[in-house]
Amino acid sequence: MGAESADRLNWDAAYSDHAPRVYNYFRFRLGTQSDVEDLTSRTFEKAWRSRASYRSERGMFSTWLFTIARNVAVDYLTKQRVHLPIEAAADVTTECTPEGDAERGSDLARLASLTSRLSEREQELIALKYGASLNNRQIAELTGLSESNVGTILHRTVGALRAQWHAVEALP
Amino acid sequence: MNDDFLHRIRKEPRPEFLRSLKERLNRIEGRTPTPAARRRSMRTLFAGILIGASALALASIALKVDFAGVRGMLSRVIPLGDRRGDETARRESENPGDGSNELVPRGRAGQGLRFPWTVDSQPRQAAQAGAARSAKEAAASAGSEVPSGARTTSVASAPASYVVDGSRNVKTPSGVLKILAAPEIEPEIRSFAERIVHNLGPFGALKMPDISVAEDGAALRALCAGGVDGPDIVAVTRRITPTEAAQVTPSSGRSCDRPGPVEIPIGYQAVVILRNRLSGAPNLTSQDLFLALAARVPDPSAGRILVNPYGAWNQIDPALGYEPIQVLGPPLGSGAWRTFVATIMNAGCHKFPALAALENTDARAFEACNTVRGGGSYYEEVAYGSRSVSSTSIPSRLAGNPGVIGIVGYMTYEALSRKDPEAQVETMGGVVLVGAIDGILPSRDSLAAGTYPGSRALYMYVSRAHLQLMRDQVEYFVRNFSFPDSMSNDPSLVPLQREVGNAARSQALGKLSSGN
Repeated sequence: MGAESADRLNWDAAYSDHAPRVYNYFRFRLGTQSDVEDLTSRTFEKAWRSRASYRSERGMFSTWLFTIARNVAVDYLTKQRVHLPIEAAADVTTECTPEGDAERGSDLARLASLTSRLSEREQELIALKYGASLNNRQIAELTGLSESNVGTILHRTVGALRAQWHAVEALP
Repeated sequence: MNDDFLHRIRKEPRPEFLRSLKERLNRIEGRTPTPAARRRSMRTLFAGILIGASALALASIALKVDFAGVRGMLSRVIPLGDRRGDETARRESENPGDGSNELVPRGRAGQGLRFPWTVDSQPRQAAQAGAARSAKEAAASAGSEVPSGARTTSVASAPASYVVDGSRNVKTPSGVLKILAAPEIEPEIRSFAERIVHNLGPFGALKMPDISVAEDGAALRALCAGGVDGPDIVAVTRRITPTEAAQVTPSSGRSCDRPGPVEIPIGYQAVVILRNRLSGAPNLTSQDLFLALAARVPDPSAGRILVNPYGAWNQIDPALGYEPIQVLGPPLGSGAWRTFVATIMNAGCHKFPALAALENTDARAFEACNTVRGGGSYYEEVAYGSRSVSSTSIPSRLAGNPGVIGIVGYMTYEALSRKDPEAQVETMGGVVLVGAIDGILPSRDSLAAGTYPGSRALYMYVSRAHLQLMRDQVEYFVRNFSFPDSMSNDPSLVPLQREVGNAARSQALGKLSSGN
């Protein structure tokens, strides 16, 4: 029964629909362009290998896929924390490459600098909402929060981000 | 809500990246074929069998093959006496087998080939006669039954194809490893074996083992019983007991410890408890957790067993304070859940002598020790069979629910742990704290010492009964088996530290090669 769910799913359509969303989820979550393609690949490879375990009666495909994506992100961020000693921070910030300069000047870099002040949960919700384009109900299902709680947190967070965003834009 | 500035940040991925990823996915074979793929495979297999059988039937009619003549010819080319030993040859001439007493175990001997004789296509150059005798001796030492009228024609060869089933009434071990594993370990072994066999192909060092699930006691009994049907390797969630090791097997007349199987520790299975830091690190005993979560508990006053009446922690122990009993744990039936039941629940249950006594007298009543209550106290985490859910969502949910106790696999804790003195776990929603059980905090050291109540050690035992025939495959398996598998779904499985694992493997390989 459940296995038929995986069988019935149109993987080509699911891939076309979800690949850009997973890709953008990682961009928002990491706040950088590097490693995003690698993490997107890792997510789809994991999903593809365990596609037989997908059960449509237990949840939407996007919930299943983004559960995997979130886990990939957590693993990645955990390893980043473990493998990057505090002394390395200075090296990272002073590293100058043309790509780095371009990225730092981009909207994504600006967002990353603003979201770095948010809590992990707020960062996650922003990435799920605007990167993965999930609605509040799907986000609630993924995170274990209530739907209204998701809405409230997002409203508050986006309001704060917007104010800071425009404040930065107004700078000479 | 004006959020255009966030929508603007979205960007389409490069088309060449999407194309190359899709091509890569198409090249990956999924771990489990879909039902449609299975049906296609079955149809292909069926058609292949039909074609093969038809061809064989036609060929045998057309050629009228004289098997006896061919056999005589081959006997002149490869003298049977050289390969069997004189005694066997004498028996054959005196009492040729009639094939009426078929004892070839299903799926083990020759993989279903029932030719009266078989000649290996790659005879070993040296020591053919010695190898044949070794095979016979190994079978005898394993307690296998070799009827007096049996014809055992052994052809030395690569380890995967070795013993010729001379008269069809001889038990012979097959050319594949037979592995019995506990339900928690079986997926890891299967996944490892499938990957190795898939990567190395049909001519690799390892043939696809015959892997079955067995509870610890049954697996160890089968190991000790030995014989041709006995497993080559068992993987269990506890150490063999001295009683089991000393038990004499009727078929062999020997006990399991002479010569004993080779023991190899492979890792641990462990769970930890967590709670939001607002409520402080949980410090519970296994007895507290048993009384909180068992479906039925002993009545402290009347000496009987009743449906769990406890709704708050302070009803179990006033020192725990008032907090409703709410526990968020792994899905029922999952590896982490089984670990929790087998370790913490079981330890808590054994604190009550009346309940513990039921283990040997009333197995059905003893199930009370292993049955977790429902009714709003234990919340089963929904999982898709992927590690991803329990590795992130339970700690995240605890961050938003200060009074709830969470149970997660040890590897989840280790992955999220900040490794500071307070053993905090940082989640997407905040910080939660890991708790001690019976005063012991989970750590690699407490797991290794066996002092942490929420863990148990996992072992692999290698039989020496078929070693002479299966040595290459056994050694390959022992040398390369990685635990848990890289695609493991069970966060409660904990690998040994690399040096410890390597040392254990080296020691086991040394014992296997030295015979001590």
